[in-house]
Amino acid sequence: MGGSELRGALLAQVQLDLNRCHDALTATLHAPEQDRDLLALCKTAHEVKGLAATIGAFTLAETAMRAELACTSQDVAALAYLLPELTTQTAQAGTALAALAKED
Amino acid sequence: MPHQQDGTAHGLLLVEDTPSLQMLYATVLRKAGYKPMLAASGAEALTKFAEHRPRVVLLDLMLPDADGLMVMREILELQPETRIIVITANGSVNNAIEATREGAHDFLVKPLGDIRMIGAVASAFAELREDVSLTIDEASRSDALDRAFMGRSVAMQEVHSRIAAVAASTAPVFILGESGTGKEMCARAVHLKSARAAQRFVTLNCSATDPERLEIELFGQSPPKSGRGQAQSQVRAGAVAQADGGTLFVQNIQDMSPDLQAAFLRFLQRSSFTPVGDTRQIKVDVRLICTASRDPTEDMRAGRLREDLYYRLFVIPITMPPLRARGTDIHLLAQHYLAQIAAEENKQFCRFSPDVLDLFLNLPWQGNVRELINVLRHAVILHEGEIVTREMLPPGLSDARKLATNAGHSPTNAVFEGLTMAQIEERVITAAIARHDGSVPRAARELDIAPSTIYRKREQWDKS
Repeated sequence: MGGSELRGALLAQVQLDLNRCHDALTATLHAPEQDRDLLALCKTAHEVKGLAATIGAFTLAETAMRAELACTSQDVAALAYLLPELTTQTAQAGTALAALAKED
Repeated sequence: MPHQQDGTAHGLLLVEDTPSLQMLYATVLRKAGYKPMLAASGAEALTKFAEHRPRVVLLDLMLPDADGLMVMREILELQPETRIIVITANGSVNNAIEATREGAHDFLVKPLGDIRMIGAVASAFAELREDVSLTIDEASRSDALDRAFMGRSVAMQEVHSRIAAVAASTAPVFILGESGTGKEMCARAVHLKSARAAQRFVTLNCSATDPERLEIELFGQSPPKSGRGQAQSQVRAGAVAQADGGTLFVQNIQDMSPDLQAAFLRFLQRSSFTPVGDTRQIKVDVRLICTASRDPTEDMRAGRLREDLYYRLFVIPITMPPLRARGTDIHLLAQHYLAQIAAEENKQFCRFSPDVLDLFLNLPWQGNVRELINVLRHAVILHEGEIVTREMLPPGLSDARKLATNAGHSPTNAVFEGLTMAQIEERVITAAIARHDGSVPRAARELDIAPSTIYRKREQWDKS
């Protein structure tokens, strides 16, 4: 695989991963509060944190870290505003990557 | 290109569940010449590990189906010599600290830098090669000794004579010397020159082991008996049992708790021990070699090391000379390690410019041979060519020379001139860790800060 092909494959895979995380976050966001699986949410936030830091999306990484901490400390009040923020920012990162892939 | 053995499909296992990150890390590893096996879950990692027994594992601590620490424990149970490099995300560094306490070789914080990741993997394989070369045959043994004790200085000749004299005895040996002077290689040399050379050489570093687990690491553990009709699980062998017939090398013995020092003394007096959770006395034949980065006599006087244990251990001292006292030995060592690192990194470097050789003779080398290796690795990884020139060396080296030449004229100011507070902090902490043989807890004690502060700062340096 050549350099540009590799870059394209990597970009596509990052997009897929972000979309998968976004779907999981959206499902949690729309679930009734009492039915939310905080452990699964914690893992998704953790995954977004690592992905975002790797692609240089530091604001998203920071939000994901705060959401992960809120999950581990079961801080439902913080999650009430962090979850929508994280979901939106994850979608924005996916969109930005898609635009980048088109430019290539 | 990495060493041939590392490039095989069975040498390296990468465990990362996020597909894009797995793809990215695998790409970086392949570009560096490795051929990693890939796993995306704890179960897949353990299956592939059991089948191929890779020697180095890059392991993400947060896996979808398992706790990475549990996976690490299982791997180390199956093959204790495996070098595990754990991967963690920013903000989860405490897990990584726990992993290193439980035997991880190193840890990396996301986002992973290419150089840092390849450096960690290369270092893990380099350490394994050293272990392997020390256990194969006579030729390899003498190679290892040559490597460890390259040099014609008077100071090293004295070390040679002392090793030859003590090797035939079974008396405990206490090796002294600054951090990075090669105390472990000296211990291996004593073992390899002795009649026990064909038996095991087992290492236990008291400062790198969780104090609560140290007794288990030393004496092993018998698990509680399970229900009636079930067989008792196997005893977990500690370092003492593993070294039966061979040599036990204990580093930083003064970091044992007072209770454990008492138990260790009983073991020395009786040549037998009792595993944790057991009542049986197990007889062993072990030759003991110890080291300490601090003066053990001072520790004994200060009450940190039991007096009776001190006199049991401090029978035959060997002092490893600092690099700055070894004259032109540094040129032989530099040439040897340059060839080794260049081969590992697939670079052409084979010699030094005259001003670099001159500079090497005048540096204080406070981190000794370990510092020399780091300087060479820095030059080789970041540059191309056949000759290592002054410009390729890390910028801090000139400051170190200032420190050496301005001794007595406010050296602290000279060495820190032009640096930011953050850079000064990094240097002071890194030097403290080196002085304590890589022990973060003891470096933290010296600097009067919490170990977690150092781990967090390291995490920030890794990112910058």
